[in-house]
Amino acid sequence: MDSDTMQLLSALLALFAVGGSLVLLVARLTARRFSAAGNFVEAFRPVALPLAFLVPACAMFGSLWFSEVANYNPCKLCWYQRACMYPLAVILLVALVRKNKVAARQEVTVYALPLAVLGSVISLYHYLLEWNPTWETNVCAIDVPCTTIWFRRFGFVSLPFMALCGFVSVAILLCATYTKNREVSDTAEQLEKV
Amino acid sequence: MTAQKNQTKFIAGGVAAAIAAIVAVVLVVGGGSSSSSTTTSTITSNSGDAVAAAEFQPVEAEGEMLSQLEDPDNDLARGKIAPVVNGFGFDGAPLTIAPKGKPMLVVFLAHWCPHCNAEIPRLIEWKDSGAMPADLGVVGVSTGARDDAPNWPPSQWVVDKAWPWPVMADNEDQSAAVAFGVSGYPGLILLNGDGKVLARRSGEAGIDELKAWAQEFLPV
Repeated sequence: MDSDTMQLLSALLALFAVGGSLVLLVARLTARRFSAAGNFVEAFRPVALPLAFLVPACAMFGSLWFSEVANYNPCKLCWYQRACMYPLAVILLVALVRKNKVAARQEVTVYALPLAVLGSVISLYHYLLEWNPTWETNVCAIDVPCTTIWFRRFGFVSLPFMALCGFVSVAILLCATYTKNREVSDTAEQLEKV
Repeated sequence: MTAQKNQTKFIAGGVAAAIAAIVAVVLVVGGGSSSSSTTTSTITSNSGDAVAAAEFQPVEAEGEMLSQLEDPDNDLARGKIAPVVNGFGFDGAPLTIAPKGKPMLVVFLAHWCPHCNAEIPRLIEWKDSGAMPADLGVVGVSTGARDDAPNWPPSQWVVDKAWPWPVMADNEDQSAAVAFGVSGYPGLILLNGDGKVLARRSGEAGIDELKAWAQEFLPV
């Protein structure tokens, strides 16, 4: 696979992830008003954790592909985003393989959400820095400055934008399908019946 | 409950199908091209013939290398004789950065650097305004070039940016930039007629700042 193909694939997957997550968020916010939206959220709940794992896993694979295969050397901010994204993939995988799915689902949100939020903030700053290179400095470092834009698909999808999509998707997937203790036991009972 | 289970299966299947469709479409149609490209350019040589541009050219530096610029206000290289750099333009024409009896501004530029892209129009405006000292010679050095970065190839980039001065193509090891101790792009080195370093600076600057900088160091 060449770099152009990988760029397009990762850009489309990132847009799909954030688009789907936003649909879920809207459904969650309107669940009390529209029963169909509530049913959608309930039906989505069992697949939220696998998808929440899939997003950072793909992001991790993609970032390693771009740095190790395409030789897009990561800058300082890229490393900060990696520091948030890679652990997300690991802890969400652990939650996914745990036997007590409901408890794992609830617990992992507490651990994953801070990483997703922190990563979102860094990605957003990095993305805005790409458009406003004078914010941080007026000089390009000789090695890899954070203002280097390796590519912009569709005119706006760059690497930090894709990372932002990933972090936002994970946060929405976990938050929109989060259940409180009482709801957890209800859901557990329902799942057992299923 | 069964209906909800069916809905869940439908959602899971839909997501899987959508991902599979994205992968299939991308693999079939290919990646196309993004904002960066890997094209090569053709330029016109001094003799008027169209020649394939070489984005990297051999560079040889003679004399003592300048230390890397750290603090422009306390530059250890100030007053030292700059190395003589022999190289070539994109078209293969020999180009030398050496004392020519008049002050010279050497500008190190990277095609992918947003600050270089912002600085070039200011340098041109400085020249066109007539405020640039008439005897100041300017030479650009294209350095840090990457074929996977934006604005590749640099030979076309300097044409697109309407760079009016000669340009030397640095080699892949950035030997010219290293010889002048460049620490960031754009890197500006001001030399007097004897090849002594008057001042060095890194980063983009406004026209007024450039004027003040040149006036401070150039002999009146």
